[in-house]
Amino acid sequence: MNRPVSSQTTAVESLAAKGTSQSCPIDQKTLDGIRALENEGASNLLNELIGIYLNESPKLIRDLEKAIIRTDAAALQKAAHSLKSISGHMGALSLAALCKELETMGRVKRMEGVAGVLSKTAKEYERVVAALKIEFQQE
Amino acid sequence: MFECDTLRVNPVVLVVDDDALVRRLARSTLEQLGIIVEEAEDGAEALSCFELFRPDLVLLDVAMPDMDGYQVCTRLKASAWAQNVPVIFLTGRSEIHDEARGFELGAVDYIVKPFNLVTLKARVQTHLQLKRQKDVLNTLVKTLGEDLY
Repeated sequence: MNRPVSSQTTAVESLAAKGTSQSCPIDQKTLDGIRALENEGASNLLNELIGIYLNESPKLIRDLEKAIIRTDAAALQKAAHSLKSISGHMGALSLAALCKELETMGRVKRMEGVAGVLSKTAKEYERVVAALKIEFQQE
Repeated sequence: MFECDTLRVNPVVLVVDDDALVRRLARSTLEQLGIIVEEAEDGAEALSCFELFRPDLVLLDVAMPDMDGYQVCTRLKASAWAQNVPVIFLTGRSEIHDEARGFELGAVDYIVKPFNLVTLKARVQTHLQLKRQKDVLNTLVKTLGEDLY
């Protein structure tokens, strides 16, 4: 805890070590900002935030799926907005961008093609969760 | 109560957002500045906390279930003592087109989510300083007025 940012092995490095060619789904600058707060006294903050994310996000993914099954544009907009917000604050920028797309589709009530965007969102979400779990273990 | 607030060593900020993660991140960021942070997760709780803690500044999410940030701001600003309490809206980029509405309701600023932690600190500090200066001036004016009569 409270290690200098430069001395930490990042999720990018961990994924690289595992031989993946995909880029890390988490923006490391965002996590560095959180680690800087840890170094200023907010001990264990990153793990706490990851814990909140892992606790809250599965329900939001389920809410997205339910909204699409029920063709409920308002529910889609709401769930996508919440997932976009918490994902963005954790540096999951690609996931947040996909959520924004879903949120917009919900707002303008355009449901055609939404299943395809949800599929991409779910895959990206899995990558985000895996990367955050690695970060959690390293803290 | 109002005069006591001006003498606070550590300002109080009320963070209103339905996302626990956003509240936690804002709390840790602002506590670094010596700010006391109170949290509310919806509009109804925000109104109670506002009366209870008499915050020096409110960070208010726009998109919340039941009562949105604009409705909460309207209710907050109904109290006479609250006129001088700065409200900063937290908003998604897709809602920023509606920013004029927030200013009309008495907000002083907007911060787009996901927020940059340095930007959050700077904006909050600036508006707290402005409020403190206003409070000092108001107290001086009141004291001078009493001396005149």
